[in-house]
Amino acid sequence: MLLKVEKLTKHFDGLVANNHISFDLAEGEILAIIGPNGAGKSTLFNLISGMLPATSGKVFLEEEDVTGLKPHSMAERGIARTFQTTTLFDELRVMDNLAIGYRVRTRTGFWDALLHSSRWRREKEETEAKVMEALEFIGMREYAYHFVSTLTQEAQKRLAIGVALMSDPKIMMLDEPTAGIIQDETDGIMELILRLKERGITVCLIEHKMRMVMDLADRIVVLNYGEKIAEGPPEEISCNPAVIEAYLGGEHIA
Amino acid sequence: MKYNKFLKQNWLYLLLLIAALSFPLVISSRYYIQIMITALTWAMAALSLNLILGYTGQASLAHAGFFGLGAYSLALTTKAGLSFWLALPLAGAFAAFIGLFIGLLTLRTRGHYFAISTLCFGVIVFIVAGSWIEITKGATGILGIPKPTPIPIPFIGELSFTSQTNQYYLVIFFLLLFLFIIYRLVNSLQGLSFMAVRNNEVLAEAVGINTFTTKLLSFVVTNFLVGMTGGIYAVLMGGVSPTVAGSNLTFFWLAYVIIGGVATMAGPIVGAVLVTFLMEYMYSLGEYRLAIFGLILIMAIIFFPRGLVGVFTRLYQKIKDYFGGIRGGGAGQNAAKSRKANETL
Ligand SMILES: Nc1ncnc2c1ncn2[C@@H]1O[C@H](COP(=O)(O)OP(=O)(O)O)[C@@H](O)[C@H]1O
Ligand SMILES: [Mg+2]
Repeated sequence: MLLKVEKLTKHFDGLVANNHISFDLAEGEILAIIGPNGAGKSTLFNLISGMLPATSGKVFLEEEDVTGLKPHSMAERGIARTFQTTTLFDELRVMDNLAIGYRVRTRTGFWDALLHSSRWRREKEETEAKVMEALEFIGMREYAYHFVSTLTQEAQKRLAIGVALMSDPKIMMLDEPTAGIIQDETDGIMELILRLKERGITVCLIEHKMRMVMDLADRIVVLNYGEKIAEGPPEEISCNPAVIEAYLGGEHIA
Repeated sequence: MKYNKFLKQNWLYLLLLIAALSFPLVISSRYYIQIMITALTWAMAALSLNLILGYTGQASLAHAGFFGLGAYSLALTTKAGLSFWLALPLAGAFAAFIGLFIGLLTLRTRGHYFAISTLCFGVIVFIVAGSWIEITKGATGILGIPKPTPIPIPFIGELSFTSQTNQYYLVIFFLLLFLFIIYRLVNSLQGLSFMAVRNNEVLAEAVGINTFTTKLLSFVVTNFLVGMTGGIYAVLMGGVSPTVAGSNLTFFWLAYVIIGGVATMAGPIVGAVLVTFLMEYMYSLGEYRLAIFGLILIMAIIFFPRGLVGVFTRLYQKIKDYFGGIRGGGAGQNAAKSRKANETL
């Protein structure tokens, strides 16, 4: 098992945002995490990626206990993530955003920078090549020199995925990659996620757009009020009574 | 051809360099040269402050504290007989070493809390300098620091630093050295990490940057440089007293960075030289100078958030775009390229 989440629990004061959540992530699959607003999906991502400490529970990456590691260590071990509200380095250019995403794979330090060591040169060229490749992959080659603030919402979403992709992660956790963009543009993001899978990256996806989840996901985990209420393949989830109940009055499941 | 292109891109810097080098030859007034020496020393302090504040986004208000540590370190070691050329890097190393510990403590805090905790450290240095009489001689300070050890030059004699002109060139040498160090650091993957931390610490951490060690590196380098600057200041003054660690110095340097342009290469120098000469020019106004200074600072923050260098860059850009537009064809592309080139100004 690539990733194993065991009884993760998170309390915010009185609120139980996640209650004994367990699930596995198999190599190469797309797992969708769905559930109504406030169900605890983003919190679960924050626990796994080390942004928040869990109240209890464990996370294993390739059998290794990685519970409580800092986010930068998780990124180094191959777990990359994006945020629900598009988060980028908005003072910098597109190419710099991507280059920062690759920083975790480079070692250039103070002395390399000062003396222009062979490592400085090698890693600079390596980074430039990786940036070009990523620009190509996310379809933003002509935007390399643009500042993030000049990009459309959709382009920003693509770039956020590109930044996460730079570190060659084993797992990419995408928190609502299509939030706030129109249906037409959703298809582009969907296609991008499928190409991540083709690259051999395991994807864990939080998503609200049901059509997209049903099309993309190999498996679905459903959260409601911090509890996992269902898990299974899309066709099974779409007719699960507990899931339909949770969504009643909310979104209709296709 | 290659040299032509180099000249075309860097003519302004070359011009400034020639101006800086010929200054004491053209200006015969000892008075103005002395002000310039002071201004450039402050420029060095502002340059290193810009590394932690401008490029890394951490407002260290302990800057004068570390300046003071370097100054006292140099005073004590040279008076004990150590050569200036060893005492100076030692002054930097001492400030950097103390900075490492202070950084380990304070860099866990963020934003205002970091500013306040570093301010506290600055105040502590000031108080210790004034009260640890056995070492620092208290409020009187340490006097009689020998001039920099002359550098022997084969067949010609030696390069001594007793003349004002040579002291000026000493300052220019270190200013250029600092510029070189900061330029190389900022324009590298390591510099990109600094800017990532400044722009969004949470995201930087999420993409795998160890934000704590990144900030610590920036802080240590900053303090090494400002410690050296304190050493240079001490040797030029021939003495140190607790005022070298006073936090009003920090606020002046902060103002130079803001007025000149935060996170620009030239900003701290422009700010330091301009403001120092302006203050000197208004000497007769006495305390009112500070009011005018405050006013300039507020105006700069409100109207020129990227400082004078930012204003200049934008003007230069407009002119370039205008002429590019007239010539027609690929103006937009040129604009994007030259904008990239101007980034490092
Ligand atoms: N940092 C936090 N502090 C306190 N409460 C939080 C925090 N983060 C999330 N919550 C609460 O936890 C619950 C789950 O939130 P979240 O994980 O963002 O839900 P989802 O992503 O499924 O919409 C919500 O009630 C939210 O208000
Ligand atoms: Mg959420």
